[in-house]
Amino acid sequence: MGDPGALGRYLHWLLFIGLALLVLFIEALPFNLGATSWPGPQAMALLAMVWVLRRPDYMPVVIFAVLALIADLFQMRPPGLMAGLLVLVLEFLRSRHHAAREWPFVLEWAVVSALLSMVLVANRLILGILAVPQPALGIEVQQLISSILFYPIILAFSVWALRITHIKPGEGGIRL
Amino acid sequence: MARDRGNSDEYVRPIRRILVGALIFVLFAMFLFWRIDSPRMDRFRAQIVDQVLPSFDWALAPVTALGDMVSNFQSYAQIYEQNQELRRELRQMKSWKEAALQLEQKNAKLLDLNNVRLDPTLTYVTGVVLADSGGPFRQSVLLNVGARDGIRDGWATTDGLGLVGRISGVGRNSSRVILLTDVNSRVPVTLQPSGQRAVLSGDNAQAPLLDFVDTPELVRPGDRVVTSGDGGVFPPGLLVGQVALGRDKRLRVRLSADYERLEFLRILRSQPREQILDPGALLPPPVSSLPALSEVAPDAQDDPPAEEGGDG
Repeated sequence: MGDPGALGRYLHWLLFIGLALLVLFIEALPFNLGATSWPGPQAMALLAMVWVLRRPDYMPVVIFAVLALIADLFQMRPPGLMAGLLVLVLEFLRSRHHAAREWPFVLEWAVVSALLSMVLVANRLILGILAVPQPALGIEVQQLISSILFYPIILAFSVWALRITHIKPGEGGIRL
Repeated sequence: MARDRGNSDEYVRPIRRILVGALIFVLFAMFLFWRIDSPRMDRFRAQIVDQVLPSFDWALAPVTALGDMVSNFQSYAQIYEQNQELRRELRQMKSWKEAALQLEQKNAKLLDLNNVRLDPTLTYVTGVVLADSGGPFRQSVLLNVGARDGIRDGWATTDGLGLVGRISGVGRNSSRVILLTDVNSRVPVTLQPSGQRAVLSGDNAQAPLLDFVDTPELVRPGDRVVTSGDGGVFPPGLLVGQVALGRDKRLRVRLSADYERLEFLRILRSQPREQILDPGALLPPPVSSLPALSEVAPDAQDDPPAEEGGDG
């Protein structure tokens, strides 16, 4: 709409879509058939969380919701449930992004870990109430652990390689 | 996407909140719809995957080939030892081949003597594994054959040696195979030689679990496991694997199919089995003694096979 930040914003939307599709593509490769030894992290959700805490305008909720739904459809999860929970988490973080500017890294990490754990518990609870067969708790906890351990890596990648950093008070004024 | 900036803040923010609420509502409604009418949603899912994944084919092929090359390269390192081992195995196999040939001849002779009629209807289609789109929790692979090739839900797939899984979800050009290790996989099996019936149930571990074994004392590690054909989903007698005792002291099955290298899968066309619904008709007394009813006699001639069945 003619404002100076628009182009950068659209480019970052495209960048996020590209990264998310890349993650989906890698997960779809036919390696590690049979039983996997240790499940990988929920990379797309982690990326979205890092971005929304730093540049909420780069991380529109509709794009994330659609991508999360596609991931649900492709990975044979119940469609919509995990996507809905992750959108809730994302909106919670978005409402805190002003405060998050002051958070030390450890606090941010703890908040993200707590939210991911809550998503796991809520997911299992809802599936349990509706009597949907679900995977063993152990393997989901393993995935939670690898997600938590991967958060700093994805954070470092976003901050140093993609330059997704907090907006300084004087610098432009895109608020969301 | 609602953007709020400047002085329009206090108008846009509530609208945005409503939109996000609606978005979350739609997602959860989709989940509930899936829970209520899962076949329709799964058909929709199969359609989407069917549209998208084959178009990934050009990208999947080189990456997959690269991965295979890496794992092949690793095996070059031990090529000498492998060669030695293969020679040894080949020698063993030759003696086994001899034994097998003799047994086959003997078997054919015995079958002939017993008048056994084998099931002639098993033919197969072979498909290439396209992708593993199951994620870490669902053990499934995608094949490049689908409804176009006459694939139907429920057909068994093998890798040529052992059972791999069952078709679950067919698109036009692709179909999904639920592997035996998946949490949702339940297959009725027979353990040989004890003849026990059991259910093979996947639990995401490499070796699926044996459930509902009548007398586990009769089962020994190393026993052969084949499908029993109960329930009419799988043809009976397909090799599944061997019984093994898990680390948790429960009976598991070491699968004969090589799950590390699923490249081509064979889909067995199983025909629906004939159902015998008739409980058997009442058998009238021999009619020859009643001259008045002699014209009914040709109809009564149809019944003797049923009588044999009733005896056995």
